[in-house]
Amino acid sequence: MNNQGMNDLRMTNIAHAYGDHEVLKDVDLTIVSGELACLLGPSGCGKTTLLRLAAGLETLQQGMITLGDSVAANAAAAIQVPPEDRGVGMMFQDYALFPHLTIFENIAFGLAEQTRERLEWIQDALVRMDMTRHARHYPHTLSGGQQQRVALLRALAPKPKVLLLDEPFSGLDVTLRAQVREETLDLLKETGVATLLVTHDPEEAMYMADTIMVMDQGRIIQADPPAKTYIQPVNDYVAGLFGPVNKVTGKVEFGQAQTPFGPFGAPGVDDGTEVQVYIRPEGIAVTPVDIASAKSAGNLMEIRAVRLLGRSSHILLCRKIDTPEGEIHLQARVPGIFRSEDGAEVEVTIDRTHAFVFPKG
Amino acid sequence: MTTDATAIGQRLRLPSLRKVRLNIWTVGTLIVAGLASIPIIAVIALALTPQVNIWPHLASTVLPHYILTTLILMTGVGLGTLIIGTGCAWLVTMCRFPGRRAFEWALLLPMAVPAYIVAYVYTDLLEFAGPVQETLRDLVGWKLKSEYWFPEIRSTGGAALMMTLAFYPYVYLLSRAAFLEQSVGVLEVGRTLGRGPWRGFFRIALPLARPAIIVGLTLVLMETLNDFGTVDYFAVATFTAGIFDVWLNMNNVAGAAQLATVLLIFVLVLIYLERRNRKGQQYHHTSTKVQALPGYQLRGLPSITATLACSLPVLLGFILPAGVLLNYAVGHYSETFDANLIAFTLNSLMLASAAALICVVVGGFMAYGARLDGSALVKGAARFASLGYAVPGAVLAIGVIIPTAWLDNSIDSVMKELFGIPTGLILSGTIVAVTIGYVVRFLALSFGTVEASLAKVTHNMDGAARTLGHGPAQTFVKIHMPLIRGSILTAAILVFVDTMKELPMTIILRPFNFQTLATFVHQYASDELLEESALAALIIVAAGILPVILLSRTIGRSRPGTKARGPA
Repeated sequence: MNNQGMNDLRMTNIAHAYGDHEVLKDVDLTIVSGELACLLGPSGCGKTTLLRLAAGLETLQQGMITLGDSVAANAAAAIQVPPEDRGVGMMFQDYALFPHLTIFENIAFGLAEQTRERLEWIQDALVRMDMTRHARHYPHTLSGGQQQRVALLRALAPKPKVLLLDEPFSGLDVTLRAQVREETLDLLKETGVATLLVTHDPEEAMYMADTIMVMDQGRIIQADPPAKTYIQPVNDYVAGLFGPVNKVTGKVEFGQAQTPFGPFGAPGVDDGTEVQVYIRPEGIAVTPVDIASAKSAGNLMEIRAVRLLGRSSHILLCRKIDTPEGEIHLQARVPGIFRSEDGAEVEVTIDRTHAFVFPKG
Repeated sequence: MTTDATAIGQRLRLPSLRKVRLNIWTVGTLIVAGLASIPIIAVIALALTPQVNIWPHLASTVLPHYILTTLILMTGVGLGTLIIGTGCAWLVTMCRFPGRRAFEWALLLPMAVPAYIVAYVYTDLLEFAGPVQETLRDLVGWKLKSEYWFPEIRSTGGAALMMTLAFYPYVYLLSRAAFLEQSVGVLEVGRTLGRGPWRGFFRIALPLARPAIIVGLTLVLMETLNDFGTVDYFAVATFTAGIFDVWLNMNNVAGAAQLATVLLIFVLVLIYLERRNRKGQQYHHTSTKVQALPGYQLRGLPSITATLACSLPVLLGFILPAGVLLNYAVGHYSETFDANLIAFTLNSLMLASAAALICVVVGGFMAYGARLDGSALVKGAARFASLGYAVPGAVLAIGVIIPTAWLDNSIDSVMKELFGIPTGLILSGTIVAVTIGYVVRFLALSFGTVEASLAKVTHNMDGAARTLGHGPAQTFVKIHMPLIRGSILTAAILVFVDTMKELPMTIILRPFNFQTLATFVHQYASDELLEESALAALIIVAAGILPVILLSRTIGRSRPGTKARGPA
């Protein structure tokens, strides 16, 4: 099943506009067989357009799209292979199941010929997803999770070279989502098809992706494995994707950003530059002062409020400083239940891998 | 991640023979739309290049009269249908009174009776020798016409009344749908703010339903302009009557075309007003939350009044005319049911079937082509081609005659030159020309129905089928056709029935001595032989009931949320 290198999706120098509205600019991406890439970005950033271009549902205006070793679209040469000849599977956000066909007919719809091998694959997949009894039912009788599975199987059944998934889990409620995600991931890894998944949910991208491609205003601004995207965000936008962050202002001196919380490494930033240090709430450790009193010369802060969230606790910290603002605040998130009186003094330690320095601008 | 485009380009083999794919759907849609637009363009072109200037003559003689009569008729019919249509729609949707459920669909029944047939029946009843005046004379003892006053039915006012009875269902249907779509919340807020049922109607419901009501009124006024049977019979000099007069009696085709252009201006003004009204007026979907309408429970006198108000249009517009026709048909059965009638019925059925089939195929092709292409050009072309419905039949008939006659002459001269064989008239004055006329006029019905139905199928369905390896045609057959087959049938029935009823185009374009049910009824009724044509008229009415049944079935599930839909 796995024919490495043959079925890559390459999109080169893509630009697209609806009228005067530019939705994509200078987009380049490559996804190889077996890879699952997530396009991550807010709604309206051009993710779905990129997917539709790859599928051939939109006419390419600029750039080139190749599938394996054949050109699917080349704007300059006016090549536009229609979607039915591309061998690309696509799963739509609303699933777009055919209401007049049974579940089985839906899944088998894309088979050019119903070979024994493919029909057995469908049977096996239905058994695995506990859907066999629904094979003769119509889509509207199925739950959202079941419809999602049918849509996925329908896209996979004709053995597409590349699979495109448009917000595949957005229609599911939170508890079901985790389960379906896991199932989907298993199935995709097993088939080894190059997959491009569009999502606006960073956690989903972290969970699913081999590569996260962060999109902002029609451009891919970072394409890296999940861990690197989280630990080394290229800019403030990417850093802010994974939840609210603390922002502390500072100035670079001797290659380090000087802040009220001590210096932060600022490689590549000129001395004298005004910077903003982004600190993730989960990168802040909070220790009661009486235990740490021996070395309490560090960052002492006052607890303003503690919110217990169950798995973690959210702590609002405060310190008086000699600036016009009068005081600075930090938000910390620590695992488990954190017990403390409001107003208590604590020592705050900042994990430097959860802090990022970006020039102010 | 980034790769060099040119480097890839050199390594790749390019797909051959796929460079530029001529899109047959786009080209086909443009060609079909273009063909269907020829008659409309022909009329405009002819009017812009007058060979004989008859304007001074027309302007000094009949033109002011035509304009005035047409405007009076439009005002009368417009007001009448507005009051009856919106009034009844409000009553059956918002109030609870005896018979409300039955009135919901019964109020549509007058649609089945063409205006000209209503006119023949009422003239028969109300003229000097008719049963009403006769009874009156017997009762009072009058003998002569000069002895008493009785309203003259064969007048502009009479024509307005007849058309009101025949056309009010358009306004009723559309305003009813608009009232149903209104959020209960908005009306309830109105009540909490101290608006009673009456003020709620005038201050909230009516303004919210205005766009729909105006669409209904536009349809009514287009039908009014189109009507020939009634105005001819009543000798009311409207534009359509004028076109026939100038053409058939004065033998002046150019003059008729020029009159047709003025009539076309009336229509364009109507369309413009309707479009302008529609712009920025999409405020009737105020909420997605739809509940059963609460309804005002009527008791006592208001309840009786409501029942009466709703029965009157049904009684006068359907039961009475259909009853009279039935009575005559039964009484004169032996004389009227003959070979001629069967031949005329077959003629009507054949033309109506052909028109329905062609309209559905062409309209479906255009609607799907416009959906696939999505460009303003293709959509605009399709829209223009379906303007035919707005153009009065007499005008369109001229538009059909001009190009067909030109084509006939061209073919004839070419054939004579090349082979020495004169071909004569192949299209003009044959059933081909009539059918072309019907298709151009009723294309909008099939195109609109299919287009609206296609719009309900999400574009992701197309995307899914396409990415699963099915081309546009295959996708249409496998996905769209099964999903919209109900609408395709509806479209066919609508065209079929309208063709059965059609009169002005049929009279102008039909072959010599060729009769359909409609032309036969018109001819006999004009010769005061209504009894002999009653059976034929009744067949037209019976066919007309078909769309009423269709519409009343949709009415049953027209309120979103009342009934979940499942696959057939």
